[in-house]
Amino acid sequence: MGSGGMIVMDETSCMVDVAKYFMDFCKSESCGKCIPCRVGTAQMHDILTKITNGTATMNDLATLEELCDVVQNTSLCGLGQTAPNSILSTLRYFRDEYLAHIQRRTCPAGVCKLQEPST
Amino acid sequence: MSGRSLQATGAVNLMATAVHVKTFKIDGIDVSGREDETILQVAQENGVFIPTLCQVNGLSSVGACRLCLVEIKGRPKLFPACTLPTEEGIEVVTQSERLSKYRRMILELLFSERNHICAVCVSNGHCDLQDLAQKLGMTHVRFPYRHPLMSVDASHKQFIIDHNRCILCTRCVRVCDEIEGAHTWDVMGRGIDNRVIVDLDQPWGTSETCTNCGKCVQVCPTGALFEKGNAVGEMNKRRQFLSYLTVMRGAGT
Repeated sequence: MGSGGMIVMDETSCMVDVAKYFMDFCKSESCGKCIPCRVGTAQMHDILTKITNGTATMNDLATLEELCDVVQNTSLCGLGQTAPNSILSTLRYFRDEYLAHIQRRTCPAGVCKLQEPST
Repeated sequence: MSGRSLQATGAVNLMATAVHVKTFKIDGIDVSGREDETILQVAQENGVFIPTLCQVNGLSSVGACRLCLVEIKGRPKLFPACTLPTEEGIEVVTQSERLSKYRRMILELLFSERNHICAVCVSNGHCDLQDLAQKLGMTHVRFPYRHPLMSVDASHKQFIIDHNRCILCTRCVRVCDEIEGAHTWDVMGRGIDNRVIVDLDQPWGTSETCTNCGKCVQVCPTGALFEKGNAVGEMNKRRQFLSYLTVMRGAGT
């Protein structure tokens, strides 16, 4: 993120949790001047939290993708424009992990503590 | 409008070096504007509607609300019309499927951020946020409402600030600093914790810089700043002085 550093992760890292970690960073670094970055990062963080605790639905995933698009394209500065990158790239390469959290209520890496399905 | 453009043309003839006029297109209409004008100003002069929440004529532009984003043909990025200077030969697009989608989503984000229940708001019926939501066809908010716990400061003898309705457009901050010269208002906190404060984050009634002029109340687009003694729906904003701001500060600012 930003500094051009490289992070090496193996299969014990949950990609949704990683995306949530970076979104938490962007949320707290957002200055709050423009609306998409100020509210968008907070909303994206909320959705990622829902996914990692097992309460998200497929609708939330669709909303998350729309939010990524609007925050990336309408934010005032580079922070907002790049904030969704962690979600976009984890969705591109590790979409199955998102789906496992939402549809099967399991975390493939065993990182997230998901709620049991209420049925 | 025509008088103004005539004036501009006359100025070009007399002082060719003083005023430069740029010709370009907005939504296919040929328009011209001075080089120190913004796309938004030229659009307004020509009757083209571009939605905006943070911009007020006569105050500096901050490009924060992102509702005035426009497309320029041949460029992939979107540009805020309120801070974009005129440029020769560009083709500006103010209405498109993509832009209306983004504008609606930005409004949805605003509505989800704090507490915008129009029915119990003093500005119901004369609120810029409400007007835009209707005009741009925002029918529902798909994001969960955050409803943070915000305070209401009624310590001032004439006015009240309700942070729940604030959209952080910073119109009050700018009018207080640039026109009244008091700079009572400012912004505190970062990101989602942003809020406007009085002086050093103190109750409004204890402020020593506030001149009680009420400009902040009149420029506020929502029901965040309002006069005491006005029940729901009774207060009408007095914005007559706004038209003089441009003259007071010199044209083009």
